[in-house]
Amino acid sequence: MMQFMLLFSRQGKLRLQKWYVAHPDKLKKKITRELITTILARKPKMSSFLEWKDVKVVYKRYASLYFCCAIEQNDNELLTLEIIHRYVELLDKYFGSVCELDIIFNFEKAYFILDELLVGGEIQETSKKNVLKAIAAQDLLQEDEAVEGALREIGLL
Amino acid sequence: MLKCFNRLVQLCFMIIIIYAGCGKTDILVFSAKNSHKIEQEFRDIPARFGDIIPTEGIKGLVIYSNPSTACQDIKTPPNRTEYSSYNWIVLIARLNCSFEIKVRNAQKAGYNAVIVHNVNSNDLEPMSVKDSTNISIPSVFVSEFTGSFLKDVYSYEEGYFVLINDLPLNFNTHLLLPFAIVVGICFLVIVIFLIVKCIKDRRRQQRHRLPYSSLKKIPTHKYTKGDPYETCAICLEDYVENEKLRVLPCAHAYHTKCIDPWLTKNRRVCPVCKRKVFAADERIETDSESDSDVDDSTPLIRDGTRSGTQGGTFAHQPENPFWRHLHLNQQHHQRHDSQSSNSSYYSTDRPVLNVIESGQTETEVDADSTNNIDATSWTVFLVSDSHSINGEVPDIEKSVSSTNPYTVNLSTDANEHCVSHINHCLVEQHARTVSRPNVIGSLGLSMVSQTCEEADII
Repeated sequence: MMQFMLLFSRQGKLRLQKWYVAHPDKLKKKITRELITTILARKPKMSSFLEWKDVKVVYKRYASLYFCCAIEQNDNELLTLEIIHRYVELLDKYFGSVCELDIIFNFEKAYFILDELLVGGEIQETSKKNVLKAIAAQDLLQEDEAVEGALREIGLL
Repeated sequence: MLKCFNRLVQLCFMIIIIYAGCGKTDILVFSAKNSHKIEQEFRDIPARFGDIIPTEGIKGLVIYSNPSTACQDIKTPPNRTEYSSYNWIVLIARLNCSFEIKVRNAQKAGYNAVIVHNVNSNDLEPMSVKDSTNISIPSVFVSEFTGSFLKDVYSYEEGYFVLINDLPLNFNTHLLLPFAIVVGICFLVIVIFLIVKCIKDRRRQQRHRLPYSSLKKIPTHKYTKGDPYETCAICLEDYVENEKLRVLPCAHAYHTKCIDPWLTKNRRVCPVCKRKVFAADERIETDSESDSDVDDSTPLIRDGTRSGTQGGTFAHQPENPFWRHLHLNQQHHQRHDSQSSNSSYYSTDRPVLNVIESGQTETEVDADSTNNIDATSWTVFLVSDSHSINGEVPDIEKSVSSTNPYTVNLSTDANEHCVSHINHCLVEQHARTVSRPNVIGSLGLSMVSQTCEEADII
């Protein structure tokens, strides 16, 4: 099971975090900080997998962004790498040539997509098409609601 | 390099000046017990006559002359063996007679050097005489203050000796060595710094250049009339038929002889649009290299599937840049000229095998393995993009039958010719409906059908 997923920039700024295990906030912050320093110190040619404390960390860099997952000892690293890539592909498809700024400004969308892909630290939906369909439906719903809300506000409904 | 050297020289001078500023003395007093420590330093002015003071200085014992002005004969130096290694220096008061007489008397008495001290004044002035013949010992002039010091405190009976030094800078060995070490270390550090910088610069430059191996992978093109480019932006000459042009990924073309030195000796960018030039297989290398130019608006996934967004590799280039340009041109014309007929000059001019861009399955066919095709008729096997950059139009007999619109007949030699150009093939839709893609019947092209099968799975 995946324990948590972190997205952070090359400067070490945390962009996205998703925890599938319960930790107090303080510990979360500590883990995040330590892991980011560890990963940023690594050279580009080094392995994407590392044993860190009692978890295995799988990370990959996409342009300016690091995608980092912590998995348990009996999980498959390559599969995790594949999940990361799938997530990036999803983001790329959804945003269209996604860059870090997209994720900064539309982090909720990135979270929604992640939630469609992963539930409780396990892969939930492997089909990119289905995920995007679900997200598109959600967007539509949101839009309708927004319109409805606006109408209600001006007293038309 | 030169600038750094200048700075170094300046630094050296500064150190010397500082050093000289604090040690501008000519008479140094040492204790006999500790001959490396300078007890006192006095200033003096050498006389204009007599011997010049040797560069290493005159080391000697000071004795006050008797009588003090030395206008008559004076007492000879004490003749004792323990002082035999030292010179004798006599200290004489000014006034009453000329310097010449004093010095001659001292020389006669057997002294090796003379110090004349001022009386009732601390001014220093250079001593001069009318007739300096036969004066062989050196002499210096000091202030009254110095004279009294030398007389009362630093006489030889107290165990002191003096060094009369004519150098403007006194380089004592025990100070010279640390000084030399410091300067040496500074110099060494600067040299190391320069070397490292040089190497770094060179490496960076090399990284910015295009290697020859990649240069060969960038396609060339023989200029023919009607190509979208007319003038080489480097030599500003119009292209002449059959001239070799190199087409960069950004679709800018230059003379091969103009652009090659630029790419390999300067920087791997297009001179017009500044886009980086990558050959087919260089993507991975650049990903690790381009650490500096990645920012938060860089796309996370950079592959060539989105044409046009990147500088682009040729591996993923879906279309020859020349034709893309033509295509865009044509679209542009169509937009503006609504009356233009719908017969596309794009498709008629295009010297490639006809294309069905269904785009569903795209596989790559190795040109070598398809060379041994000897059948003449193809079914269902069409080409999406032949890199016919060289402009040789394959001799194709295209007979589109009414039943199967996707059948192309090729004459045998044209066939070989074309196949060597094929980079991508499309398996037409109806091949997919048949359980096994019925590709090219007896062509012995098992490899192709295999790839098609793979494509089907994809």
